[in-house]
Amino acid sequence: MIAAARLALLVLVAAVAIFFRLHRIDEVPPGLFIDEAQDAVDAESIRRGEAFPVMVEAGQVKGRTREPMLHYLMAGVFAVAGTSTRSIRLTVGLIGIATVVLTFLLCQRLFGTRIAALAALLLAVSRWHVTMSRVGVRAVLTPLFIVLALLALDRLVRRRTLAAALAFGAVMGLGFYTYIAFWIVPVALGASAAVALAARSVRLQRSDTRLALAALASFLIALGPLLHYAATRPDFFFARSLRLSTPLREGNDRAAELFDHVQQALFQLHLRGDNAPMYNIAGEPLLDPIMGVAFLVGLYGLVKTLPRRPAMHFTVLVFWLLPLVPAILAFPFGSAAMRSIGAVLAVCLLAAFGLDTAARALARRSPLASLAFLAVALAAIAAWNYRSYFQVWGSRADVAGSYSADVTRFFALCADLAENTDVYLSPYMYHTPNFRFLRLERPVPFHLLDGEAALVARAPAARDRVFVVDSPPVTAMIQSLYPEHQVVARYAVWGRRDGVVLRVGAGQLERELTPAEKAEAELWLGRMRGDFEAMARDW
Amino acid sequence: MREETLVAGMLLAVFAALAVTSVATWSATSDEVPHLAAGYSYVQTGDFRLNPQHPPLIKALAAMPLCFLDLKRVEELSGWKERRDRDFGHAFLLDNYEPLPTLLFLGRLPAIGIGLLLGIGLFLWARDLWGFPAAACVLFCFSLSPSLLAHVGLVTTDAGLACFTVWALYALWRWSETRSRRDAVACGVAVGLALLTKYSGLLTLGMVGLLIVATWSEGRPPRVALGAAAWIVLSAALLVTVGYGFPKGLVNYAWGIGQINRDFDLSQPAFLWGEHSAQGFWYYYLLAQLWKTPLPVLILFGVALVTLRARDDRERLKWMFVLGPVVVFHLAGVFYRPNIGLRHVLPVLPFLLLAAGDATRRLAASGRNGRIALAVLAVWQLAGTLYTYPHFLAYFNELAGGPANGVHYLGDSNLEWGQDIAGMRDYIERQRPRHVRAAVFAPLPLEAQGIRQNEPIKLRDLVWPEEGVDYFVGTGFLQRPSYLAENPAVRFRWLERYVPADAIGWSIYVYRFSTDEADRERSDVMFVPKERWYEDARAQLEQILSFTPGFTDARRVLARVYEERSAWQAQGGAIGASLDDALRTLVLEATPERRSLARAAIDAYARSETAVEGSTEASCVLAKARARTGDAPAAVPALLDCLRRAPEDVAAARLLAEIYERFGLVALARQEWERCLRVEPGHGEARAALERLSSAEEPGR
Repeated sequence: MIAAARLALLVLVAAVAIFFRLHRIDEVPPGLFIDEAQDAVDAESIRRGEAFPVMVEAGQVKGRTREPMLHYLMAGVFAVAGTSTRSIRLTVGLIGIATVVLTFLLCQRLFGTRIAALAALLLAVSRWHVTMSRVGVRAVLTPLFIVLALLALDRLVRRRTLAAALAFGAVMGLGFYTYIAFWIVPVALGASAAVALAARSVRLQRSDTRLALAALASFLIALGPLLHYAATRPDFFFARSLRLSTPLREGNDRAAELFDHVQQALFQLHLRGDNAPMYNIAGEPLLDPIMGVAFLVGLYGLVKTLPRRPAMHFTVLVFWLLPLVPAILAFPFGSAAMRSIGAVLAVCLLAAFGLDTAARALARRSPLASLAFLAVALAAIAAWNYRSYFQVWGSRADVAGSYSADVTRFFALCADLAENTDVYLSPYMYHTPNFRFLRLERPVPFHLLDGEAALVARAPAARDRVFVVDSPPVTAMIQSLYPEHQVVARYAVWGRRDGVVLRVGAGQLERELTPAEKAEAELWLGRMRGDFEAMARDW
Repeated sequence: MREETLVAGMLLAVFAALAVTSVATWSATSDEVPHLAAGYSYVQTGDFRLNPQHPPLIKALAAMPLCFLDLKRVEELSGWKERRDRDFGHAFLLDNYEPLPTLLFLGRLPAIGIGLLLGIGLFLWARDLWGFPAAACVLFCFSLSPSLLAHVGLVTTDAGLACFTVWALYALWRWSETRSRRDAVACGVAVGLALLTKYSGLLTLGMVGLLIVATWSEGRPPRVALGAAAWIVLSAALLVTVGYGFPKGLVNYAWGIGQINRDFDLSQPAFLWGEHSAQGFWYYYLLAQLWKTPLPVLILFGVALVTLRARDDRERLKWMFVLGPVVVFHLAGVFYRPNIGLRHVLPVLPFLLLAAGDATRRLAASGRNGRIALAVLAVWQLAGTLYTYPHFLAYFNELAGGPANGVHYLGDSNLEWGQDIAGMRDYIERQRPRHVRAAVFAPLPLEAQGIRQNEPIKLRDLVWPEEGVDYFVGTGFLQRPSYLAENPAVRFRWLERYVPADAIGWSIYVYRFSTDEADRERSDVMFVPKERWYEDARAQLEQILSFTPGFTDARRVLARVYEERSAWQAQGGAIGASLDDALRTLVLEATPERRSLARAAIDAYARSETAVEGSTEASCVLAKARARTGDAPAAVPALLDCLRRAPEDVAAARLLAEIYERFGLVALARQEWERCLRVEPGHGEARAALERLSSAEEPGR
């Protein structure tokens, strides 16, 4: 194929990827998922130069330590495009687009332009990858770094230069800063390399020792800070992986539980997918029917022809199966679409093989029919995935719930009120990651409803006061303190069913609390704070 | 040839022995009750009024041995006139001159005979396709196939359909080689028998049609194929006409098709892999096949697929014959509701075995490693089957974690179909438990099957099981989305919460509970710490009541939980918590006994040294706030604390008096109102209340 045609294909692939990742970026998904809000808050502190963490910690909560790569990338985008929800989505969108483009380049080297175009197009439209490319969580980096690692390895094998070795080592080292699922990549590469050597697809040369040492050095340098962190704070570093990989059900056959997870991970493509609405249409398979069938055809063809190209085909299989391991080892099984996102590349590649097999079979009878088949199949896959992501998933109530769309709306209400009044938020609302990030996006001078000073004004108040309360006793207390209050709104977000927004006129606020009122205020505000602290332990 | 016959005969003998000895231990399963009785009525009267939702062949065959017994006349049995096949089945099996086990065992023998016929067909075909050694391997897998052994022993139509489908396609395959009229007629006869066995025999007819069309690709004139098709249709139609009430056999047949799901409640949600669906699952049968087919067979099938080479038209046709039924039955399964058991795609299994035969041939020919692999697979298959024996119905392969984990994957006829009631009876006779409570699927009443001392499991047992009781729970009940149809929130959560003490045939779990610390290490009893015991019950009941607040039984049981926990906490010295629970019982259901309990708890609390942290003022504020927010049970101890610190706090005394009055604790209420008057002699509310209470009598005093 001539270079211009290849470039045109690449542009087409990139255009499709851009469309699927940036189209309606402010609307779908609605709101802000609590994890991405927390990550964005941490990214903003990096942007401000307040911290440059090797691992992002969440206070003293050991199980919530996170790899920092996404935070740094997000901080970069914040610096350029401003701190906003759109910038979060733009960060992951760009990562997704880069993954698609690099997939094209990688597959072109390994399997030719035709397969590359098919695989990249499938990846570009795949609801699975599109979903993960539009939510600011670290998992989206896994496929990108798998492609980068394979590209670097391919370059190293082909060129055998020192620069290539250093680049490969660096990519492998940096991969550990992306997401825990990347840990599986060295294992997959090791297994593939072993098969390649055994099958003599790759032959070792004398200079390879030098290159291996260079790659190792580069790897260790890149990984150094993380190794240092792991050595100095092992409890924080390993807590998450240990927490996730501990079987829960006592008295049950653990091997059976693990087998169950294996099956759930395998069947998520075709039969029953992830139930977490953040990453999937709850319970629906991750692949559309056409891509699902194409995948099976491709897999069948791959297994059948395994003896012909053992190293390459084994690598594809390994990069399909091993990235499922993080999902399999998670107890309880859940969020599998996110945890196993590393498998998406091999899945799209296998589906591309399947489409190619069918198209070639048709081409024997009529080349035109073959071309038409490919065009129709790709268009149908794109349309199906567009519909299932933007129209079905994007409009579901459980998705809006898990992305806290109501919190975003509620924030807007509070922010509007803050233009004319002093708004006092309950600790829960004040500290929730979503409110914290949204306040970075739209600076609003909210106050914390905590202590006597929040309830009364010592001097004549200039503005009315608004209390955002989600604790019935506190509501009752404020209502009894200010009988002439006004109920502005009631809210129920995140299961806080009793939220009330109360407005008290400026004239009423200047007063003293009686000792009994003081005691009551201390008691209930203290309890509200205690409830929040207990809950926030898991954030 | 003699050697081949000997090997095949031995393998079939193993199959027969496993089938006969296992069915002898099973009680009646769901469909057998109407099937066997209806079959007997067909044979005795020639009247097909009963159970028209299935064609008559297997039922009639099963009833043949019963004709040699002295049984009641069909007309004497209830349900006959009213055409109620289940009532008639009950009467036939339970009110007859011969005992139930005899009727069942004899009725199952012809079914086993059909199973043997299936084995013979499979062996002959495999030998034609792959040669004798591979055919012997196929027959080995067949003889040790738990799902086939489970269904060939039952008076149901599924194994029969598998048998006649294999014979029909085998005959057609032979016809494709010989083009002889005899083979075409043989195929027609087998198709006719399949049609007379089960209505999904129509799929067999469809497949035969498709495969005849496929034979055109061999370049023969269509005339030959059309001629064969005519012979096949003619033979099948003739057989149906004769077999289903001559001369109206075809009419009866067509009418019966409309009755297929007559006795099945299609609104019942399907269960698959921990989830329920009212619409069913399109992939139900695919997964059922995956989990209930022995892994060695699946592995061999996979090898066959991967090594499949169809170099010419004849090879392609061969694989169409072998894989076609797998595709057709599973394709039908995608659309078929209800989702109640692998048995609906049972005809697929022989074809998986047939395909596996090719893999055994290739492995055997591939050298030493291949033969070792074959030996390993054979041992695996043998071990899996023997491990499951005689509970083949509950078989699950290692992907599902074996039969012990089947309950998490599939239900209904895949696991609990009534087959283990006899096992349960034997278990009870052996163990002699003091109290038996059961929730098991039983097509015939438990009493009639020898289980007399049992009570049904009620709401109280479900959320708060009793010590000293043996609970027998069928897996179907453990899987149900709701135990009581009218209260969706009521369900068994025992799988997640408790470990069974025993299992009967993997379909009925036995639970025993103890809260005694001494039983902590026992394996035959589930030890539950007392605190968790009460808390689990409370949490579940609160949840149920949040769905259905007016559920009287739940309120009553919850009151009992609080009552008992209150007494237990009082014993342990937790008098604050004890008082809290005692008052909660009154909120739910006030009885004189509970008022006494509450009074005692209040007295104990008032006398105790318990004190809240913080200032007197704060504790009083807290107490009043609790009372004001309507949390009376929590407010009472707080108010008592407040009054102990500040005995002249009129507001606290008034709130306490009001709460006491609401709970009917008249004497205590009076005491508090008097306190109000003592501190504030002009307290009008207290005066009015005392007047009001002067004539009131406290219930239970």
